[in-house]
Amino acid sequence: MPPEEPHEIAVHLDRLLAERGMTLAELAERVGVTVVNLSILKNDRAKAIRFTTLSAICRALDCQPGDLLTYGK
Amino acid sequence: MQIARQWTRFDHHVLEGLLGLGVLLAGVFGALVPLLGVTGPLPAADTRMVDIDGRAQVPGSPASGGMVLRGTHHAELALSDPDFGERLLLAGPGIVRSLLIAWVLYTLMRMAQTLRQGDVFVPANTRRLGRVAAGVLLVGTAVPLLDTLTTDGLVGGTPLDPAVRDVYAPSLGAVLLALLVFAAAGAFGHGTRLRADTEGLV
Repeated sequence: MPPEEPHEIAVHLDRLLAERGMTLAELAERVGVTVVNLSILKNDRAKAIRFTTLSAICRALDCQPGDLLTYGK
Repeated sequence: MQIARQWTRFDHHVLEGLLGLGVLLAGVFGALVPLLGVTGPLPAADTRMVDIDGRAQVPGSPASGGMVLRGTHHAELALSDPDFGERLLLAGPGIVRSLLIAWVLYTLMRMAQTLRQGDVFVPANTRRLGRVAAGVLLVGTAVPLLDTLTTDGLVGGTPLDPAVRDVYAPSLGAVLLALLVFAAAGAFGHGTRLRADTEGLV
């Protein structure tokens, strides 16, 4: 697939953060990823996510990857 | 990173300036001046180096210190009063060569501009490297062909025709360089795609 083709993966980080009453900065500190990168992820501007990052986010938010990512907008 | 730091803004401007100067010099002295010579305002080129069959002899070559000057395979073809067509045939290959060189240098200058802007690994530069390779290949293959054809056009049907060898001799160095640049363009394109893949990786 050409890299310039838009993806259809939605990221629900903002909802998960709101449900847990956690800020992006707190999550960034727990996960070990910069706020800037988490912001990119939260605003659907990320093109890819490392399994290590995904694991750390799921661990910090106590959720499954399917809670964080869904296919189709 | 260390290398990137060494490329200061000044360096980038110097590089762009040198390439721009090259474009200007190639355009003016390689194409414009010869073209003005062909059309009339400036003195036209009236000679060309040609390969000959080895029958001509250098008259009176003095032997000095055991050395002898031999000049039987190259000669200068001189036209006393070339008409417009002959002037065009004489200057044509040089003009085409200079235009191609100017085009290659201009393309490199555009690449240098992206280097100054901080992002050289863009898809446009892959296409530019391909153009550079094509330009170098044309300089090494098409220009010698043009040279052969125009030489044939100049001496064809004249008494000099049997003596002048019109053998097509492409520049192997330029062909090799073009292949290397084509390969570099391929590698550059691959690197650009990899960079695009990792861009936005969280």
